[in-house]
Amino acid sequence: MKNRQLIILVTSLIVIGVALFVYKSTVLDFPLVPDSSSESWRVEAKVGLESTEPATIAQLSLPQSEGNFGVVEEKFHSEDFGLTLSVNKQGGRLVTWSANNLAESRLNLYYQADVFRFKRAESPIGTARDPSQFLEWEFLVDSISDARQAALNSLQKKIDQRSATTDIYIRQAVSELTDETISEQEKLLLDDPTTKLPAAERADGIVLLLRMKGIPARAVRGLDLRKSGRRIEPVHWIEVWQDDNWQPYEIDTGTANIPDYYFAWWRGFPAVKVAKVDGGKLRNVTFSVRRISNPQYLASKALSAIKQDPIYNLTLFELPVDIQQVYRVLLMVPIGALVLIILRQFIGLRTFGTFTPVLVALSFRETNLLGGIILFTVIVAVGLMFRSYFEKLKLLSVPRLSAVLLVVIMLMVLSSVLLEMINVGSGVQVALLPMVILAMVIERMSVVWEEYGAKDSINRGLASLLAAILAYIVMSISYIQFIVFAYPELLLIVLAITILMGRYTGYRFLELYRFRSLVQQE
Amino acid sequence: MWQIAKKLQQAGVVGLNSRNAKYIMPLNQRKFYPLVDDKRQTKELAIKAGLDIPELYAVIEYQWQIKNFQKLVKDHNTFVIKPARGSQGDGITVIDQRTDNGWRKVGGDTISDNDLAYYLSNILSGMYSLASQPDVALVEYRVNFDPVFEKITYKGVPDIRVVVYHGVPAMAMLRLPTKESDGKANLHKGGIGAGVDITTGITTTAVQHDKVVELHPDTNLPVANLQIPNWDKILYISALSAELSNLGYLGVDIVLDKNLGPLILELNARPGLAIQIANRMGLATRFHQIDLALSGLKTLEEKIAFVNQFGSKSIQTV
Repeated sequence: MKNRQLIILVTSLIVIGVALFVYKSTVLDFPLVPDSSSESWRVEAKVGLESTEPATIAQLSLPQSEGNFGVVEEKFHSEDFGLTLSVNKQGGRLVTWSANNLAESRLNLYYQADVFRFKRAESPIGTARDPSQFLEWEFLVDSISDARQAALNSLQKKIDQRSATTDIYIRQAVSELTDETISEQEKLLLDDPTTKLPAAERADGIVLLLRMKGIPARAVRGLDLRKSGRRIEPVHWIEVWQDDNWQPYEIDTGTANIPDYYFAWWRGFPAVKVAKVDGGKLRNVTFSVRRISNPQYLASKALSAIKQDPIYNLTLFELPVDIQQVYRVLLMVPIGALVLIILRQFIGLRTFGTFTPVLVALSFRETNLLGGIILFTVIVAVGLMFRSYFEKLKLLSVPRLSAVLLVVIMLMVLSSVLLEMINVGSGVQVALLPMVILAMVIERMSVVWEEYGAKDSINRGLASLLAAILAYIVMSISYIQFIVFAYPELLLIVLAITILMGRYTGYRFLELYRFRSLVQQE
Repeated sequence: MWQIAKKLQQAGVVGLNSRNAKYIMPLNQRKFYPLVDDKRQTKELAIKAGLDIPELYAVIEYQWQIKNFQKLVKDHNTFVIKPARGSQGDGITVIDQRTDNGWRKVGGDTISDNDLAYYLSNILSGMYSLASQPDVALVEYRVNFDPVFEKITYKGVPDIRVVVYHGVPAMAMLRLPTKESDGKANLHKGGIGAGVDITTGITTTAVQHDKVVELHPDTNLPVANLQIPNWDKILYISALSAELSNLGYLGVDIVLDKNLGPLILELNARPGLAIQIANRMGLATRFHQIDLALSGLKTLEEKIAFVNQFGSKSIQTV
């Protein structure tokens, strides 16, 4: 009966765990390996402005995670300004900086973010799934002269006549405004009839022609990430609503698809600027791009920033980075416990405290392995000396334990300060060594020392340290960290394995050695 | 390795995992543990059943009683102090006699009144108890042990461990203190474990530190072929203890007093496995024999009589 329950429980745990895992990895396309193919850049926008009035408000359009690109680690540097983030009605993100009575009139505001590009488009590009608001155009031509309106209408008709399909219309509109020849109608529309339009306005012109035909379209401005440097000129292209999706078009040739490294920053029509300033003057906006290599967890976060599937958003990647870090550690605890089960139940290692080695192993993550081993050994050894001294003072047990705890903490403070002084402190953070656990280890160790002698006590102390080291090594395998964090449902399988191991009634490895004489010839 | 595991399996050697899963968990209900884990309750239980135990002189429950310790033990010169919930013989002190400013321990060391008070206070705070719960200290009669073992004992008190399975005494060993074990009869402290023929009560082989020894290391006398006196009574005490404690897998520790005969020292709900090495025999084999006959074993007498079914043969070395 109990066995049947066990089998049902274990099987269902494994089935649920595996099913979720398979569903996420195949249907939802979760990565099975840490994505090392992603490329990353640090982009920065600098808004230079001059404040002329007491109240100054500056607005900057911001990029967002979409298509192949994930945007993470956004940082704003704005000195005395307060900032708010918002989304405009076209779905574009904005940051609004505002300040009163600035000390200096000329100043710079900065925005910085890390951009990841993934091989595959992880979500459709472009926000605003409702295309109707991208059809209006009349308001643009209200204020221009009748002659120009007539020229514009005639240009639109000319293109329309030559185009049997929407695709051709788009290409015709692009080539009309792009090619070398300047038609009669264009001449009338241009302020300077001898030169072609620069790309920014050309994109607007094409969008206007498309909207006049009733095709939802908008101009997109972004960065060509292939060009890294301090002052990057934005590139321009358009997006056309086709088959319920925004399709990007290049505006030099009119072909669908833009270069892979075109990263959209803001969308606007007509000629919407990336930034604007109230109560002051916008001096300039400069963009810089720099290739960087980024840690894996940022890539995963970028990936989840792009995915807009609600189930995907249920993952741990959605949590704030610092909480993610906590879970990264917590999710490793069951793995460490698994190692401990193997060491205790299958090998027969005797350790102090059941989970003490796992907690010590966790602290090794902060100190690195060698530093952790040294600290553990030193603190336990010195703690034992103090413990035996306190024993001589005939302290009652709780105060004695507290005194040992105090010594442990002071030793940790001391070692931190010393390590900092000789300048190896950078990588070594002792603060998280589990001091209460260490104090208990010292207490247990000294009882064993008294009762069974130094050899037993040191043996068990070393066994605990060995278990901690092994648990640490397993827990720091980065693939295990990745896979458990990406697929927390795998813990159900860990639970099943743990339950199964709980029913192991065979010999422990060290018992074979212990009982060996029973079956061997003398 | 697998071969050793297989041979051990065939020899019926019980490992810790299977002891816990197959014997302790199903046979020993947790609610009966306090009876054996707390030696004071064990004593009460034994007295009610008419079994002999080392007489309890005093119980120290509170810190303030420690001051009155001398008054509490004024009628006795020699006695044993132990934590009521100590495990594996931890924290036991045997006092030989009062000295000018303290006590002399068996073994010759002296302990000052101050040190003794601190030791008592440590017992009360749970330093030796399972899971560090607060504990009480028991002061009891020091066994005047039967000289039969004198030649193979170094100080301390030898005792007899009987493992009782479903009320049937299944295996026994004699534990002898050595110099190394500091006069304590615990095997993991370096005491000697001698296998005992469960039917006759005659010692067979002996082990120290899980290795076979022929002679007692301190007295250099052979340990085997010694008749333990009062064997029938020991079997009776063991079987009755199992019945009283409601534990299906029990270790009974018995000492032989020169004048009082066998006394129950303590009961153990998690008896260790070294007894198998001492007897050169796996426990599971005997447990299996008992399992098969269990339905026919109703009365205490039947259960005790069942020991005659066990051959005295040890494991055939393969």
